[in-house]
Amino acid sequence: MTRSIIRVRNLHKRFGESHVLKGIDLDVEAGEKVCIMGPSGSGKSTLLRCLNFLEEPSDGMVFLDDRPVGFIENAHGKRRRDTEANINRMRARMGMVFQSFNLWTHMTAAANIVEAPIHVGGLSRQAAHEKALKLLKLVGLEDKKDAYPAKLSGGQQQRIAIARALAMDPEIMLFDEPTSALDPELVGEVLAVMSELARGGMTMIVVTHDMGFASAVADRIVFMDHGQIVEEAPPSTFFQQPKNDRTIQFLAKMKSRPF
Amino acid sequence: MPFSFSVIVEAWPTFQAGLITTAIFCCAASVLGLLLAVPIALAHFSRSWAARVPAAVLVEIVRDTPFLVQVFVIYFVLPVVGVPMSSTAAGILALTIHGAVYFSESMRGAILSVPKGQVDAARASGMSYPLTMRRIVFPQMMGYVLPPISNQLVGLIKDSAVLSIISVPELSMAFQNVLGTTFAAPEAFVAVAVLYWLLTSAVTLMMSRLERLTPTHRSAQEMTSLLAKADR
Repeated sequence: MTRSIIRVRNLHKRFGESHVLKGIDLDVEAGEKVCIMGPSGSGKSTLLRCLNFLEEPSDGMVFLDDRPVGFIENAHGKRRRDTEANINRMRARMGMVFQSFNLWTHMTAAANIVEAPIHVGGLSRQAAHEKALKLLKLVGLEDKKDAYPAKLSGGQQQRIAIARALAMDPEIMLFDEPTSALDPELVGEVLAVMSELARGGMTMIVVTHDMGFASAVADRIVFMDHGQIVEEAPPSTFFQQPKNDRTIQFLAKMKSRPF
Repeated sequence: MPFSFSVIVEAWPTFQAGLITTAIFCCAASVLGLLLAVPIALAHFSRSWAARVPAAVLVEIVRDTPFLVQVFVIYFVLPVVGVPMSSTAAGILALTIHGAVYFSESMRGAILSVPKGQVDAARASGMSYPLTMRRIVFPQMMGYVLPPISNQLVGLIKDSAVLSIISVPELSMAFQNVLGTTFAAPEAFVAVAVLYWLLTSAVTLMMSRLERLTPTHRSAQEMTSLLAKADR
């Protein structure tokens, strides 16, 4: 019996006039790998950023292990923003990897990795550095520990960013188009690290356009369009027998790309 | 009438006293102004309007009125509403507020120039807002904030000349006194100009030393040296 580590209920997000998420319901089980696909502007990244409260949902709720993320509900169902300390604790339980890597530019690779464990997790400097070395080995970059991000390739930066996100021992990893900003020849090394992570049993939610990765690694593909989930299926079904018209159109476009 | 250095030498004690007063006023106002500028800059990014609005109003008032008028308001109007003011207190207060507002605008710009993704990454890893500011934003904004602040410190020194109007015995006041007693206009003009120049260039030199320590400057240096190597 598996349990839902993430539950999303009727999630809405509005930015002024534009209604980006229109009632998302999603359950993710512990250990599950879910890939979110969909055309640009469909709300995939916003959904991901609502999961760890980088964006505050306009309506609806995200639950991490049955605890609401970012809000406290009183007896009358009225909600208010949770304390900053609680929000930070929730965030630390989820690792996040960004499209543009977002490594801290004034710190070396190793310093990027030990930052949160020391200053948020309360780990000793020595323990944190030992852990950083292990993670650097995992992503195959132990020789780059003293390099500044500006000296690393995009692929190397993203692997360091994955190591940084893993350093807080997250229960779930969120990936926001982790390979979209990479030169084609650098995509493979990042996907290899992610596949390795998946094999290790990590719960993963990955926003991606990479159909190869999605079909190889995902347990389930969630297809979004115009702020709604329009189709959910295992990769074999999703790619071979898509049901929704918009999914069919999207897949046709993706397959006709030059590479 | 020949240019006579002896006039300057004879008047030196007056100039020296003025120079010291100007230096003390500017140091005090710079330190207090920089300290005050941090909360003003941060208030602009607050979720609460109770922090945003007062900061915005203060910045607008100070930026949109002449410094001379601000000095008058602090020296002549505050005592009327029950806040006693000496010329020293009024001078330092006026310079401090004036400096703080301009410093805060530079800091605000520098904070905005730190890419949002840097903050996203910090918050996503569970870092609190103060921790994110201290560990991620402040170190990265240094390279953006020091050059404009260097300019503003120089501006502050020059603006301090206005304080002679409320009888603060600073360098311009000393100049006027020397002029009044010796009538040696060219000598006094040159002396006061050189003394202001010495003060401001000391500040500029100090600030450019500081700039060299910032990460942005270092990475720019590395880039330049890399490009130079690639050329060879």
